[in-house]
Amino acid sequence: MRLSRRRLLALGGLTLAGAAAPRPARAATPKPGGVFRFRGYTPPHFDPHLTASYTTMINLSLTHSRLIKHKAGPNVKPGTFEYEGDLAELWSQQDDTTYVFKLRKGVKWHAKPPVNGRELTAEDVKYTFDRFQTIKGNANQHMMASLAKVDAVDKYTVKFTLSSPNAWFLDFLSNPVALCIVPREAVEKFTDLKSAEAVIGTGPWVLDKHEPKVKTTFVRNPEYFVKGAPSIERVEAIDFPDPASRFAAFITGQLDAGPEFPGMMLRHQDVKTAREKRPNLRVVTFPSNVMTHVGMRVDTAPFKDIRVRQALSLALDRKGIAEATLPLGSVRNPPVAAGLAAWALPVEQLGEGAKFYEYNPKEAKRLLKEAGHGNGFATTLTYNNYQSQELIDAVQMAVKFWKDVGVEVTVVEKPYAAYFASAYQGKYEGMMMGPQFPALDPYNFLAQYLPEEPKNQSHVNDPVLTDMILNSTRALDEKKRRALVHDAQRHAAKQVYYLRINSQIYYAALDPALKNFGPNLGYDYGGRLMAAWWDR
Amino acid sequence: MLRKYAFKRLLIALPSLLLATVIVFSLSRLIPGDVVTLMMEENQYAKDLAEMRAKLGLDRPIYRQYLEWIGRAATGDLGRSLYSNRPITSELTYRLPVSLELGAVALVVAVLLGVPIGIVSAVRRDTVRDYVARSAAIMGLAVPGFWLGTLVVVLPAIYLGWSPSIQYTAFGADPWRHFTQFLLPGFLLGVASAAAIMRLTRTQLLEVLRQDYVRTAWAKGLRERWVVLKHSLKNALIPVVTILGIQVAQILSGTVIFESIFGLPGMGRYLFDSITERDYPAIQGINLVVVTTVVAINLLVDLVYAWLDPRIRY
Amino acid sequence: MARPLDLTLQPKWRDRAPAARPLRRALAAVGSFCRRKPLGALGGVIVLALLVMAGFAEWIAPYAYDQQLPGARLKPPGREYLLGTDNVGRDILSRIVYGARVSVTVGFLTVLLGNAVAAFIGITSGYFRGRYDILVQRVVDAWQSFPYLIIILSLLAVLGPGMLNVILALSILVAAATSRVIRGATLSVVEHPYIEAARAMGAGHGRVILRHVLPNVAATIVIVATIGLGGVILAESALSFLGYGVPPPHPSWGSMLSGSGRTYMYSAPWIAIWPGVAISLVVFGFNMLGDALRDVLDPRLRGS
Repeated sequence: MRLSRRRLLALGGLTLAGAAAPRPARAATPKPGGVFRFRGYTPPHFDPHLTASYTTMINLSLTHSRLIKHKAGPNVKPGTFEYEGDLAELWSQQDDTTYVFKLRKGVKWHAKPPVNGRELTAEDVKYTFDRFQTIKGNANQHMMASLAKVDAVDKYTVKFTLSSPNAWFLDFLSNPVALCIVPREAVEKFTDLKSAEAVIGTGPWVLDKHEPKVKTTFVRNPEYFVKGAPSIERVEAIDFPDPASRFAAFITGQLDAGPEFPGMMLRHQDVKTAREKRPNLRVVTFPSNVMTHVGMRVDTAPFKDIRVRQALSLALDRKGIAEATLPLGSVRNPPVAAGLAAWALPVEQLGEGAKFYEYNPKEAKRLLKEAGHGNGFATTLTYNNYQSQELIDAVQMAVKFWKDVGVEVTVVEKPYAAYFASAYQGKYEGMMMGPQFPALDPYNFLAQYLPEEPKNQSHVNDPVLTDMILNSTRALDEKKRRALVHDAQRHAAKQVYYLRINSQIYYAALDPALKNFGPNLGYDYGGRLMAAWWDR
Repeated sequence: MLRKYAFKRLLIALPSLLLATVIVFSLSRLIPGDVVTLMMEENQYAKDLAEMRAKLGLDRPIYRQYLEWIGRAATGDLGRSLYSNRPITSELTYRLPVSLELGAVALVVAVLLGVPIGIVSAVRRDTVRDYVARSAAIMGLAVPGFWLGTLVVVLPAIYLGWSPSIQYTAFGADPWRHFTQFLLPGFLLGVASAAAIMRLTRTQLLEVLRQDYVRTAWAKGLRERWVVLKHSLKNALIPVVTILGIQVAQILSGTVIFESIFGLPGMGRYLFDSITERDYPAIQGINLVVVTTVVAINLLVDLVYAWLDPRIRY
Repeated sequence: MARPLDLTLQPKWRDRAPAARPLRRALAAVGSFCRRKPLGALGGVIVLALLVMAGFAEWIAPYAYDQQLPGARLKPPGREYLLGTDNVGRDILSRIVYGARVSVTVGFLTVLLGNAVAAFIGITSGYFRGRYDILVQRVVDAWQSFPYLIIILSLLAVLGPGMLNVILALSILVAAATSRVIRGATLSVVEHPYIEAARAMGAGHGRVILRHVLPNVAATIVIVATIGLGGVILAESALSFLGYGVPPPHPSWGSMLSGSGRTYMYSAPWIAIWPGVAISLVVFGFNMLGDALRDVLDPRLRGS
């Protein structure tokens, strides 16, 4: 499919490709200064190319920049991820496998040795991506699997060449995970970027002090390339392990935002008390993209029979499980997590597949009988409890629901490392259950239906579905892509390869004095906080 | 005389310590093989299986691994954490004092609570005061520590708008705040040990009070009673010193829970985090330090005991 | 020939109840115990209630422990559900009753296993003395230098979660701690001349241990076991809090308290209160009973 000339990429409302600087839209004049304290995480280390841990990415989102980033602000609908330029001022797609980025001029690295505040150039971008792709032990390398090479055309221009067209390339690039630009000198001086001294970026804040398992402090970068940002002088990420104590700290005003994962959230059970104790608390609700599902060995009996899968789905009272574990509300998940507002197809629009989200034990028993399991059958379910009472309760309730239709499920609990290397990668017998990676793009969810993917926990091998998904990856036109993604979801739902449990509705809680801040999914705290300011 | 006794006790303590290090060391060898693979794959602790095994020391015969490990430990090198790649010793120099301070406060509280209650219980034996005192002490140990800790953090937040600080203050930053942040968790931790100390004080004092010379002095009147009490206490409390050694191990246990609830970056929490992260070298290093600490304190306790009671310096 | 030095009953009592039938004598002993040691008697009642709940759970509990009662989520204690319901809609009273079974199972198995090993170690150590004794005591010393939670967590980190592993790990600790006490008791029994006399008369070691040492040490074992039970139940709740306790569906009090109990602390405090009360009462009961038994049965133990 040959594309004509230079194609300016329009995405979701942007009429000129990536030309907008992330200028904060504000009504009142922001007041500089103040401290923002939130619940932080101590990372194992700070090297984005040697870990997949969100704990690292959250910290780096405050200190580092990417080529393009997600738009942020109170007007951004949570669950949507339009991108805008960060280090890149403009970008364009020359043909279906070539992207050219024009970098902003005058971007300075943090004034820390050995980089000492020099200007960022295209060489830095090339260096970063080369290291990302070649370093051993990078669990995120698959993100750039289609990237063939990166060229620094001149001081401020970078060219990316893909090995095959990938419509999601820019989405991957803007993801706050692992693709921040890093300086060569830091790697050469410190051998790797693991230590706190090596945290040198071009982001809005500079890492000031890191006390492991206690607190990490960031101070405003005076040379940040966006004029007037950031307003907040200091950011403190306070690591605190116990949920009850964290909440007590929140309601006594020691934290400025809700203390629960992925950041700034409240547990449903705490919302009422939080509202009482902190008057005028600003609460924003939106669906979570952490989706828990049940995977089954659809390549073996009895799960090979679609009727069995349908029966297991109908036997589950998803609403009941949600009410027991998420009292303030939940959303049903189509094959792409409902949290991705721009791509997920609401369950009502799934067509034939929608009816399997209902609770109908009688129909379930009938289907089982029809499939030859009138007396039920026995199987196992492997999971890890993720230290989550909600998950433990959900598993127990699910087992009970299946027992009611004659399916005896023995629960096998595994410690995290064992679970992750086995059941999470599809090595289990019978069924498995667990939360999935909270991706920000639909491809990562659909990839779980592709035969070669390790995350294909159900061992799905459906050529029709595989074709749909791969075609969507090649559809550079967004409207067409969306239609294909929707089709894939309808087909997948009909086949009932996974049983998806409802996801919670996040209750993000923020101090009302914090202005111009819009919470969202994903780990880009820096991007969202950049334009915020304290009104007090 | 005392020096000879001290030397003797040291000789006895050393083999126990060495045995303890063998126990600590062998724990890691019990790791199932597939977990080694997982540590490499999922945590990216190493680039391939061979390096993973080398990092865990599994590529050499076991006695050599042990000797290397213990030899390096003796010079202060406990290896590197798999999780953070930082030297374990430097992490512990930071965390050990926090746990020791917490433990010290707990021990003081335990003694200050346990001894007086034990005395009251013994002197007013089998009266209502005795029952109330003993019940209170046992209740202190019967209520699960993490629950008490949770209540103490959460209830004031709801009803008084106050909660212990979520941020740990190091000594250098603010010495007074640094000290006071240990008071609440230390008190709760000490309450459980207070019961054991109370018990022993009570029984020891009863034992002494029953002696004939004491009974005659008692019968003689109030002033004598007071003097008698003072003397009996001295004799009764000496054995209580021995139990302090055991209580130290008990208290160090409790640090795992209380450091988590009160956000203190101590050794207990470090151990718990290392276990969650499958950081076996760190688990080994922490256990080694903990065991050495307990043995050292026990030795100290033995010496104090011998100093107080010359009879046992055989 | 009557067994010498039968410490199960102090001489005073036997004199007071001459030639009475064994049942009446036993009842009189219990009554005397209650009068002399009211706290201990209270403890005994609690322990008895625990055993009854554990043994007859099916008859006492109004519902099954995993039954999700329709429309009955987060109901406060009231006429219909005496202790309230939890967030999944399960009756808390039923879960407390079945939880007794878990506590008893874990507690008793742990203490049984631990004390069996401890008795073996302690008695042989105290009886045979010599180099064996010294070696064994060094090993026990080494074990006892570990704070219990730290060694259990390390063990469970390697063994993995599960009720059986918890029992195993806990019993190893119980064995180390109590073997010393049993050894102490053995030492004092062995001093008595009749032991030498029995040996002189040609009785083998095994016979002497089984017929003379063991019965006299039995009281000690019972006492430490009783107090140890309380400790095991507390340890299990601490392990639940840390995420290493008895896994579901068994409703252990520790996991009820540290799981939903803590999450719903503000909105539904009864979910936590009842298991908390249960744990505290039971531990209190075991301790009081053990203390009282010690006062009555074995004055020698007062020092330990």
